[in-house]
Amino acid sequence: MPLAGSWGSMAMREPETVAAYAASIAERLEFDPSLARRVRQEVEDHLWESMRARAVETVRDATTRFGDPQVLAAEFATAWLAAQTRKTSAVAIIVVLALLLVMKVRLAWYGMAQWTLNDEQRLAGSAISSIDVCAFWLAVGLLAAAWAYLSIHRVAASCAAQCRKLRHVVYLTALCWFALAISVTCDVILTALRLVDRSFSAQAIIPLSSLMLESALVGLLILRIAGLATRMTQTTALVETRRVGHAS
Amino acid sequence: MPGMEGEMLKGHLDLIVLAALAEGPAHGYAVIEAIRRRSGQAFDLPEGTIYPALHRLEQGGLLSSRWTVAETGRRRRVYALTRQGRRALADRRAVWERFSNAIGGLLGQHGHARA
Repeated sequence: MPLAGSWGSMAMREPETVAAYAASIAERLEFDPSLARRVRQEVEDHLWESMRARAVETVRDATTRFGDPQVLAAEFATAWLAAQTRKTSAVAIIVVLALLLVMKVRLAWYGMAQWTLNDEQRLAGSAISSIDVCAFWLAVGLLAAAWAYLSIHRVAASCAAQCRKLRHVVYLTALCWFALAISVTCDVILTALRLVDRSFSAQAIIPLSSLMLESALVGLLILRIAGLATRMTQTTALVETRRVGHAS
Repeated sequence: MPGMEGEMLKGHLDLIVLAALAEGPAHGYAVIEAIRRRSGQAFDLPEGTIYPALHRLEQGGLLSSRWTVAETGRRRRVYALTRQGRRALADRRAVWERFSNAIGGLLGQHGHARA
């Protein structure tokens, strides 16, 4: 069994080199520990399988055939970033739908409870309400644009081009968040106007809790976008390092 | 396949990987071997290039994957086409055939014109 013999001697001779090569890719992906772990295990398995299949191959041959760790890490990171961008856009859609539902429920409740604005407040309330509606539908439009952009630019020629396109989607999603934040702020002002002339009662819990829910949803979205932007900076740095390496 | 042909190959990597997995579930190394074998050794990319493509296709819902244990006792990730992946392969194959026929016709006419 010459194959098994070669495999045995190889396994004793060079496991550290295989582990070090796999680690050189995985450590660049530490921003997502589960991705880094998975890549490390897949690369190690591949290299051992490659050496087992080609009985005379050394670790150096196997790693050379596998490719430049920097280049591969950039490709893994870009694929991961694309998936995260899609997930963040999906979260934004859920947030927008949830906000719409909460707003509609609160408005219906105002109608039922007859929590109307008084004559002095009505003019200001009308202006703020218009801003609220415009901001909300602007957010919906920006999100639709982000999704359309993601669908049209699914494939890019290079990691750098893909990162640029994903960055545009993040910008659109961040603008969508900004518009939603304006809309929620308008809701807070409109609710404050309704509360100002009323003594605090158990009824106030309903609009206040709906505002807290809206704020939490908008907070969740900005945390998600901020996390994505941080990862994007790291991935872009990885891709740029790769490009500089290639140029030199 | 260096240079421009290598770049062309990268541009069609997703289709190539989907086609390689059409035979059945396989781990990364087996996918590369299938590509090499079925292309008559013509396609010889850096082997690592296949893994980001596998991850990307899985994230796009075209592949599924799971850990198994190889004969050697090592953990191994095995990939398989999903239903969506089979549909995508069929669609891309049809597009490729139309494109290939069109280019073939064009180059054939060009050859005739020169002759």
